[in-house]
Amino acid sequence: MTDQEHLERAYRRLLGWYPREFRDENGPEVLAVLMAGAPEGRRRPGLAESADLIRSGLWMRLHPSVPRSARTVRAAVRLMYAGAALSTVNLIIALALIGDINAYHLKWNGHQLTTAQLITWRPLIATVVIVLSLVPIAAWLWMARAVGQGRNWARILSTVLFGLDTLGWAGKNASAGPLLLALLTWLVGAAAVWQLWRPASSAFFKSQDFPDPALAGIPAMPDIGPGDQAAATPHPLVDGISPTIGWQSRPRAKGGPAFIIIRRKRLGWLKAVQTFPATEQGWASAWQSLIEQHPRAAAQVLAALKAREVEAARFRARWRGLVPQ
Amino acid sequence: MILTALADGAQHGYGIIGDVREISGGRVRLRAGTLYMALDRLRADELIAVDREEVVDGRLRRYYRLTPAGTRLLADEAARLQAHAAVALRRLDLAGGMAT
Repeated sequence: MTDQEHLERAYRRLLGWYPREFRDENGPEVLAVLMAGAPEGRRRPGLAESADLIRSGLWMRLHPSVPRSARTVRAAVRLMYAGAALSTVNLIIALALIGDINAYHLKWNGHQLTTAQLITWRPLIATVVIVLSLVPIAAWLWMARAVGQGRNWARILSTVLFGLDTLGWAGKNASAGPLLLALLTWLVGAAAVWQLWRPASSAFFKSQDFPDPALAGIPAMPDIGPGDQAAATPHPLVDGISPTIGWQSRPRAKGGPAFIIIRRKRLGWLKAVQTFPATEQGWASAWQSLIEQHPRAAAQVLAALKAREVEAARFRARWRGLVPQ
Repeated sequence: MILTALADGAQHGYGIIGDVREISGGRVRLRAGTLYMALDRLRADELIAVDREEVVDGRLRRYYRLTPAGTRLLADEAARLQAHAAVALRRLDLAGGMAT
């Protein structure tokens, strides 16, 4: 391996600290800049350079950049960081209260602990308290990150977690201080969940649902020519791929014409595995479904659709030439 | 700094590093990790946008340019710094004048 290959591999490994989305989009370019900036004959990244890459990568992982246009999602992410901060305060208070284990025990179990018992149990209780307090902090940060990356499941999961926290209120009988903190945390959670489900946020999550940036957006709904709708059998708009997207004319009683996802079964038999109404909306859903099932097929279909579009335009041009207007 | 580098027109990542070094008189050497993190953030804040993409030697090069919001921010910031500098210079001049 040459020096250069060696260095490039080391840089690639360092780029692993960055979030995958960033790497997919910018990785080759960052690598090129790193390589161009490296002095001749260098085999290993410098220490400061490595530290810079690791620090930036971790920071981006922890703190995803939400587009300014998605104002509500940004607000939700900020609220979640505030929630994490409040949970940290909670942890500190809990640690301060560990000294009072005896008082707690007296309150709950009605008798004093012996000194020997205290000495045995204190480290265990402290560990449990710390671990239990770290869980909500981790949950806040995790949700903030995933929501910032536009993951719809994170939106649902954070709502569920918030619901669980709300249910937890039923059995609460703490003293005023911790109660106030818990109430504050709950309010922050409520505000975050509210922001997450505002229409503007929903639009953001919808736009982020596409796994492959090259496939972001939905191609124009194809014109269905007379030749395409002759039969009631599944008609692939683009043949030779499985699964692919297609068209099927059905009787009105069965829901009318439809866009379908087609899989090629053995012996070349085409089967419609999913059906969508033949509208713009249906087309968008069908396309999304195809992308989820098989991004690579979707890329091929996209290329074929473009070719089809060109063909259709040529056909239209010729047709216009034949019929004087 | 990065915004200043883009004020002249669209630039790609490596170009920005060189430009920032030049603007700062060699004092600031941006590292690739920091630069791309900043570019990502500025893009999310809609202060810069991708101008175009070019393939050079089989590698993709992305050119960034200022958005109207980025231009405004940079102009405001520059005006603020200029006002500061003007006050500082005036006072120094005044102090110098009194000393003589």
